[in-house]
Amino acid sequence: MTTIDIFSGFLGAGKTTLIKKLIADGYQGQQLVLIENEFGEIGIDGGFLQDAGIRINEMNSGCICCSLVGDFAKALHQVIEAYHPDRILIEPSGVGKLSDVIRAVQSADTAGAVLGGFTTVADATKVKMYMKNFGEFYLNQIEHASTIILSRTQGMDEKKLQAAVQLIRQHNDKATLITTPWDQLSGAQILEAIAQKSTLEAELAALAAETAAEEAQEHHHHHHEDGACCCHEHEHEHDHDEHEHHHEHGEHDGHEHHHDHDEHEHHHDHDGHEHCCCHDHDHHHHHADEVFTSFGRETTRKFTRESIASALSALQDEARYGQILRAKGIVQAEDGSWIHFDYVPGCPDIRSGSAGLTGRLCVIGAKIDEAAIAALFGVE
Amino acid sequence: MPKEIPVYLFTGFLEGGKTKFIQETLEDPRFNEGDRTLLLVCEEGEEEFDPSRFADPQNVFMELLEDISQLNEVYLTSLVKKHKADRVVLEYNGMWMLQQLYNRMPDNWIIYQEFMLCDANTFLSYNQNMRQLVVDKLNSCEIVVFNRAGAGIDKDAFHRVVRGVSRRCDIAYEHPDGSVEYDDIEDPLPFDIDAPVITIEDRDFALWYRDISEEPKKYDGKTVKFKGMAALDKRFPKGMIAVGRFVMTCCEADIQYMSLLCQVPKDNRIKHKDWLTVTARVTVKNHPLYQGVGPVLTALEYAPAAAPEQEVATFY
Repeated sequence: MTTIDIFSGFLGAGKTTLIKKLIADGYQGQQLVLIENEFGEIGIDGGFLQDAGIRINEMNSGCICCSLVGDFAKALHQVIEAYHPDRILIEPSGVGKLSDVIRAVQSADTAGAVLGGFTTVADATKVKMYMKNFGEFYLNQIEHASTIILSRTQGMDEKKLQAAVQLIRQHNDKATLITTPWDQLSGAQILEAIAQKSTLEAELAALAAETAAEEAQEHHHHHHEDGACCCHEHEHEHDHDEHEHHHEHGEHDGHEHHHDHDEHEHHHDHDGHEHCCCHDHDHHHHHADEVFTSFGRETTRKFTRESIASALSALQDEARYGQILRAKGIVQAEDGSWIHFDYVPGCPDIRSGSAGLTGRLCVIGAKIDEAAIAALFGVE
Repeated sequence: MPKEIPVYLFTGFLEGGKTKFIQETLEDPRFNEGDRTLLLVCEEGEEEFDPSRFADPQNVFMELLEDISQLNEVYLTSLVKKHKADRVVLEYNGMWMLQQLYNRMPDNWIIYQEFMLCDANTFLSYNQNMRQLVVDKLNSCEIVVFNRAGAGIDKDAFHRVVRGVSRRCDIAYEHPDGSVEYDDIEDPLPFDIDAPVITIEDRDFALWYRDISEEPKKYDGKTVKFKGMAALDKRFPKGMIAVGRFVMTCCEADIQYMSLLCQVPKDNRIKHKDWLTVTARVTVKNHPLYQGVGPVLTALEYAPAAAPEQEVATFY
C-alpha cells in the first residue's frame, strides 16, 4: 500500500528543507518517490536522494498558468506501477491551491494508494503579509492542511509568533500545528504530527482516559525506591484501545518505564528529576462514569520552571479552579529549552525534556473553571 | 477628453523593494515640484511609507486598493477627482497581470515610466515558478532593479532571464551597501545582421522574430534566410502567405503562431503547414494585414524543408 503525503507552501517557505529532514530522519527504511512540481531554491541533490533510495519525478508545469491535473494523474500512475513505493511525497507548486492538488490526487483514481497527510509549510515571519496580499491560493493552502508547520520561528518575537498563530487559526482551527524550530524536533515527531497521531485532542483524550482509569482503580501500586522517593507509575492495565499515544521525554537516559501494551504504549521518562513526590491517592475518587471536563490549549508562550511550579501549586485551590485531577504539559521555557510537567493533586512533577511540536497544556478535572485556568497559565 | 494623467508604474513581487524605491522618489525634490500626486498602493508589505519625509507631503495623497475589483475605471477616476491629482504613482500588486491594469485604467491615464523592482534573493526562484508573472512585468518595464544583491550573485543568470524577455530594459543591481551597479553584459545577436544574407538558425527563430518585430527598420531592404511553417488563409491575396513558427514564451499555455507576411510566386504549390526554407527580402511598409507598418517579405528563393528538431520555437 502506497501512502501519498502532500507538502504545500509558498515559495521559500522551506518545503524542500523539511522534506530533506524527513527523508534523512523519519522516512528511513521506506521506499520513497518524490514528485516535484516546483523548482526549488535548494535543489534536492540527486546524489543525496539516490543514496537514500529515493526517486524524483520532476514535472515540468511549474507555472501557475498550466493545469496540473492531467500530468499529475499520469505521473502518479507511472510512479505507482513502476516502483510500488511505500510512500509518495508530492511537492506541488508553491503558488497553487492545496485543494487542487488533493483533488488531482483523488481523481487520479490510484488503486493501491491512500492519501496521507496534507501538510502546509508557512514562513512564520511572513504569514500576515502573505495572507493579506496573496489571498486566495495562500489561504487555500492554510485552510486545507491537516498539519501546518511554521518555519523560521527561531528567534522570533513571541508576540509576533502568537499573532501569526492566531491568523492561521482563524482559517484552520483543526490542523495539527508545529511552531517549534525544526532543529529541536526529530523527523519521527514531525511525521507523527503529519499522520495526525499527535494532536491536542488525542492528548486530551488520552489524559482523560488515564485519569478515568486511575480514578476507577481501587488499588495503586507504589514502588518505593531510594527511600522516600516514589515515582508515579502506571502498572495498571489500560484498556482503551482507540488511541495510541507516545511520550518520549528526553534522551531516555534515566530510568525508563516501558509498558508493553499492544495498543497503548506509553513511556514516562524522568530525567533531570528535581523533586520526587509520593503519589498517594488520598483525594476523592471519581467513578469512571463521572464526566470530567478537559481543558486544552496550544501556546507559543514561554514559561519558566518557577512560573509553572507556582501555577501548579495554585491549581490546588479548588474554589477557584475547580477540582483538578490531572494536568500535563510541554511548554517552551524562556531559555529555549522545554519544560515537561505532570500534575496530580499535591504532586507536581516538573522536568526538562525534549521539544514538543508546539506548547501544549492539558488539564482534567471536575467542574473546572476554564477561564480561570487559562488566566493562571497566561493563555487566555 | 479629460486631461492626460501621467502614471509612474512600479511593478514586481512583494518584498521586491517597491515601497522603498517610491519613498525615495517622493523624497526627491526634483520629482516633486508641486504636482498633486495620487499614490495608489495595491499591496501592503513590511515596508511602510513615511509621508513626513516626502519632499512635498501635502501634495501626496495615498489610497489603498484592497482588492483587484477596485481596479476599475470608475473608481480610479473618482480617486483622481477626489484629490485633484495631476499624476499617479502606482505601486502595483505583484500577483496581478498588467493586462488587467491596461484593461481597467481610465483612457486618459498614460504610463510614462515603468520600473520593476525585485529582490535578488528570490527572483530566480519566483521566475522559475511564476514565470508568467515575471515575463508579464519584464516585457514592458524600462528598468529592472535587483535589490539586496549580494556580492556573489550570478549576474549571468539574471541577465539571461531578463534578456530572454526584453532586449530593451536596463538592468541594475542594488547592493546591500546601497551601491548600484548596471548590467553591462553585451548580448550580440546570434546572427550577423550585416551579412549579405542574414541566416537564422532554427534555434534562434524566436529571438530573431522578436528582434524584427521590435526594430523592423533595422532589417529594411535586407535579405534573410530562415525556416518556417507556411500558413495559408483565404483572406490573403493570391501569392501572399504567412511564414512563421509556434513560439512558446513562458509555458504551453502561451504558445502562439508568430509569422511574417511573405510574397511568393502566384503559381506556387505551397500547402498549409508546409515547412519551408525561405530566403527573402524585407520591406518595411504599411500592410492592411498588419493593420499598420510591418516587415513584409518577398521570397527570392523557397524550398520544402524538414521540420526543425524542436518544432516549437523558444527563447531558450
